[in-house]
Amino acid sequence: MTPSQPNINILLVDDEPLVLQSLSATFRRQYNVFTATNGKDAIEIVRQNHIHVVLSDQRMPGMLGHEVLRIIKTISPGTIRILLTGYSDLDAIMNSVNSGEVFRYLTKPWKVDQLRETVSAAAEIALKVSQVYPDRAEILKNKASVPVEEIVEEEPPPPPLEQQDYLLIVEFNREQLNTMVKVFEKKYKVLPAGSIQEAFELLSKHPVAVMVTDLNLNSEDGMDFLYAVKQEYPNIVTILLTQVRDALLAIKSINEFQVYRYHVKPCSVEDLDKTIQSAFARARTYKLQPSRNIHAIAQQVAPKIIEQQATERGNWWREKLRAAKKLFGIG
Amino acid sequence: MAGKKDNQQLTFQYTELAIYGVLFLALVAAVFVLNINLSDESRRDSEQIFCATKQQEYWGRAYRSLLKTQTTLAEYELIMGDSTQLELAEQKRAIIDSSFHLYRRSIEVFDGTVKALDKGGKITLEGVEYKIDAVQDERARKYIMDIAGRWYPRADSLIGIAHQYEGTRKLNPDMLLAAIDFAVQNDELILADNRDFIVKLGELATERQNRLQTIQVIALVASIVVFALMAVRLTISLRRQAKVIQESQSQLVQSEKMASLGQMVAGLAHEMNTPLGFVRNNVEIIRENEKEMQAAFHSANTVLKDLVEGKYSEVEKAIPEAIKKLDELEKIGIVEENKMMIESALQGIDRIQELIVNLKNFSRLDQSMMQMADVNECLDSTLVIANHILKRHVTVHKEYAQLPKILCAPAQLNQVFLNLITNAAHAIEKKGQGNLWIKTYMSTKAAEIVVQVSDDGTGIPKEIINKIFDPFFTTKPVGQGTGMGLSISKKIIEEGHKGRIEVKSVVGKGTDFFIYLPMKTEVKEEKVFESVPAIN
Repeated sequence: MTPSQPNINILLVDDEPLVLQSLSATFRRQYNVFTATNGKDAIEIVRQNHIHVVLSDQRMPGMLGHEVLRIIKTISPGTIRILLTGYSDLDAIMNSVNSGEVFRYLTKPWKVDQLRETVSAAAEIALKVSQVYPDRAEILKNKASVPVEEIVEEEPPPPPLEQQDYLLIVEFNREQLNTMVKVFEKKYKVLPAGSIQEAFELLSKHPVAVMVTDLNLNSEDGMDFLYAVKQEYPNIVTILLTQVRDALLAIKSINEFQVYRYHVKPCSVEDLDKTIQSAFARARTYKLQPSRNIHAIAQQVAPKIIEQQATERGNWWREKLRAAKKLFGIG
Repeated sequence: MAGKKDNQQLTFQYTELAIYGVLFLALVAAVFVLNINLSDESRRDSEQIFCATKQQEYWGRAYRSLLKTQTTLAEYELIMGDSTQLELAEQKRAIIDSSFHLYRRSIEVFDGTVKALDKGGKITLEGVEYKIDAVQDERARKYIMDIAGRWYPRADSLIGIAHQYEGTRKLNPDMLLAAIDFAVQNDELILADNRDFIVKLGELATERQNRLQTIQVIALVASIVVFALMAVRLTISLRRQAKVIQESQSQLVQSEKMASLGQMVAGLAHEMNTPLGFVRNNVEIIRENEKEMQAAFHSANTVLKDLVEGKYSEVEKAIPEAIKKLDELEKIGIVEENKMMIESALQGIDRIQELIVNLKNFSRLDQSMMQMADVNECLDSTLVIANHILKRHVTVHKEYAQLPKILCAPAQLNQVFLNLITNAAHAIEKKGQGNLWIKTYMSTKAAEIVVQVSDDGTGIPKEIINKIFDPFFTTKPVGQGTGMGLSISKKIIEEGHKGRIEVKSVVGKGTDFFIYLPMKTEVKEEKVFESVPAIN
């Protein structure tokens, strides 16, 4: 059994008392457990306590789970957020995927081992991250008086634009690739890649900050490609641009490959441009404050969780990427 | 695929219509052409008749002139030698001149008309030029030929004699005699031929008219037939279309059923996932705890065994270990926890069972269509199914009156209730939070049960409130609603239950739906036998 860590506070949010009872029993021996039956109570608890990990149900009366998590993020950015969802919520999730920036999505019914593993990884990340937010008290003081409805998400002011950051576009369809390059080359330094090999070469040669990629890469599984890239370049912010509107796929890509946003083709140029801009801002934040990249930390503190999801093919691509890195290497 | 087939069929139908149209037009055109032809022929006939009349007239004139010439000539010859009558002789001479001149002109016109009727050509009669067609029909032509046959051999000499006289003022008495001979011999015949010819032409015209009338009648009948065919074909294709529409309508009804089934399944899956989640979690925790309890139990058992077997040295070691383990169990309250976990797991399982019972009640798949049922119970099981769409933003208020069971189709009523509740949930969703009132009561006016489903959602605008029960009417985006929900509900209530469904709505305030169900309680009498034989 995992050693007890009573200095870690976790918050469980569910409108069903029996679920809270059951989850409390699961975690009470390792952590200090807080419970709330609705979003408002949960936010109040986060305001008054240093919560490391919050595990919330999606469908609750009043506020939905992902809304609760979004508000918690602004009050306490160091809190690692996990969302518990039923299958019938998948479509709703699909819409919230891009705004929540949730560490993990778990589906009901869950398995105790998996749940414990995820929460323990989240706790470890939270411990690391909490070192970066020592001035929590002040954040709380500022936000304490603001009503829940008025709290909005705040990104830290983006650092000045750095010119050497590249935008990598991976798209197997050359025609679509050219269209995208034409649209974005005026604004960004664009690197077009029509195959995985090209992408690897470009990644090794240039400092890429943001990557836009399809999941359908000439019969190769895009998931394996993402895995390899994410393992070697955890700070690259990835945007998925795909024809498949599949909530499970979106959740998987966020859980396992830390995809930043999920766009469905065809999308508007403005939307994609906005996403790319905020992805650049995010990439700079990661650069300046590495501890904001919870997924990179997860990779350090709990590599097992990440690696156990890799396929053979994914690892094979990772080796290829490593070789490319050595060959073209810029460090 | 279906679209392509439909298109093909449509093209085929249009082609068919076009063919009928062309046939119809062709028939009309044929009648038209025949009429033009007829008027043409009539013109020709009248010209020929005119020509024949003139021929007769001029023949008569020529004949009379010739006779007059002859008699005057005889008188002239009598007084020619008499010098006292020189003046009279001169007068006679002048009469001969003029009558012979008249003869010449008449006989020339007669010659012209005979040739014109025989061979066709232009002829000038009394200063007007006519174009005469040759007589074609044998039945009329034979009269012309008869005249021509008499005339042609003698034409030269009969015209020649006149010319000769004009030139020389001398008459060959032989030739004159011959001419008079001819004239006298043929006058009757030529007149008779001419008369017969004119009569014949008239007969032929009548005959043609009759024939044309027959054709016109045939064409008229044919066009009526074509028209009837067209009408029949159109009716058939309209019927077929109506059938297609009916089919697609029943398909929509089916898809509406599937949609409400899908909604039910989604709701149920969600409702079950929650108890299933914690029941599973509890069982896993119980299993973990049980391992620790087993370990403690094992230690305690070892102590007991050692005591029984008198292994005191080992007991001393085992006792503190066992006590430590038991204390630990005590400290973390494992026994209580397990008790609690088992209790809540049982509760969870009860809840799943309850859900399944409700599902069964909702669908009533295992029961017959019409049966005695409690409407309140129907509403309750529908509310359980609809819970997942209400839970988040709707507060449900139930006000049930004590109701007798009524004869109804519960599965269908549930479909209606679910539809109304879902609509209410959507109307409230647009506003954020809201309330749903479900009331049942007995009508004060008639033997009816009233189910009132009210919400304080967005309400229904006046412009569309009359349309909401129409099939296919929906305010939801394409693909999200079939627009059949309320129309099916109306059908179920009005046709299936002989009841009524009414709506009142104020925009911004909310909507009330009223369902009136007649209190039918008699179930068909049960009989053992179809007919009981009289026992004596």
